[in-house]
Amino acid sequence: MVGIGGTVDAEGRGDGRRARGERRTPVTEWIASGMGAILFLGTLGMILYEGIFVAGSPPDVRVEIRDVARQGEGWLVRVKATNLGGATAAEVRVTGRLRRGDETVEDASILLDYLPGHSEREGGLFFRGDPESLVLDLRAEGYVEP
Amino acid sequence: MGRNAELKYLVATARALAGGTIFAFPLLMTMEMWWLGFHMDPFRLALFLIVSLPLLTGLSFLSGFEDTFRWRDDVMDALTAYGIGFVASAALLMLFGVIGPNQPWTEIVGKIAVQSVPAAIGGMLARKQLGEECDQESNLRRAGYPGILFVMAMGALFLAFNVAPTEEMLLISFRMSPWQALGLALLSLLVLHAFVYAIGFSGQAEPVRAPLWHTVLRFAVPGYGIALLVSLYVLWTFGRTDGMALMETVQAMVVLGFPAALGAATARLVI
Repeated sequence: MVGIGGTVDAEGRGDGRRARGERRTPVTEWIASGMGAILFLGTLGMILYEGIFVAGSPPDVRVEIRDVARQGEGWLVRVKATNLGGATAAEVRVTGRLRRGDETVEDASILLDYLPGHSEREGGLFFRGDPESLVLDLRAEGYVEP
Repeated sequence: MGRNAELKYLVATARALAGGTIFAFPLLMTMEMWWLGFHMDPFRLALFLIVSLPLLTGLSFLSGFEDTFRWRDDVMDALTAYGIGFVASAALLMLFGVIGPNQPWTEIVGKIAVQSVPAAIGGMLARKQLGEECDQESNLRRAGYPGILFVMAMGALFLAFNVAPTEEMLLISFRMSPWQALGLALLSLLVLHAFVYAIGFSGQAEPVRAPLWHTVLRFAVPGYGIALLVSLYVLWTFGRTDGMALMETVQAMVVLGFPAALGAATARLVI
């Protein structure tokens, strides 16, 4: 036998005509296949649970600032996008707009390849103006379904 | 028996783990596979896992050489293979930084689950490829023609699975005209026939003496049909057929059918 369990009796591969009762299953085989069964059923159960209870609601992307740091002539604003929905969003464009009153000073944007449901991804926006003395608007502009 | 048997079993399991890794690493290093882990339909993934268990059991039986079909042994083998595939996938994905503690459990489980099945098939085959020589033909011979079709399906599934997640499958089918698709279908059939003719199927076909039309009708045509069905199933599982027109779906099926036909044709070599 060539499968994982194999025929591992001490006689090894005999004539292929052994009687049924001759081979005793090694303890390690029980343990290995038992762990395999637990992993299989566990994975299946979690995926079905996800399918029934978790997935489904549309992407709901929130963007927030993690921190702001001075870098050379400009500033780096690190942002975190969180998808509160169940479905995965692909090509999520996150834009930051610096403005003084109603006047836009500059825009910067990033593109997140994938933002799975109930997950977060981080990125950074580079600005020349000081985000702390101006107003910074952050938002997710849109996504495509993967 | 006793300790010797335990030791031999552990060695076999380690061999399967190594084999699973060898067969699965191209997929473990494919980013589309990581993405499928979180955006593929959970029910299709669950169905794929369920389907994999009888396939692994059948593979365990066919590549075995015991003269009795022992359900318990083969099912235990299939479960062990699944566990090995799971462990190998989880360990490598963790080392690659594809899964990590800051991800939700749905993402981690999905990423491992989609990889665990090809790794499990690899683990099952490893005993044959890396293992000691044994008289592995007998069960396959006993299984006869249905056994051959099953082996073809497994070969098709394995190779189709290796390329199906990539973007190129759809890209190629979009670039092809219907005539090119037809040409590829004929080439697949021809290659399938050539391999069966050259390699033969374990005493079933003695192709040199059998008439040409006989081999074609008995092996190449059903083999290609199986390859196409397996391709369609894999495309559907990965959500590649969603929202596609019938013609586009057929073309994608033919494109993936080419590697699947190669897999069906050469399955005999690895099983």
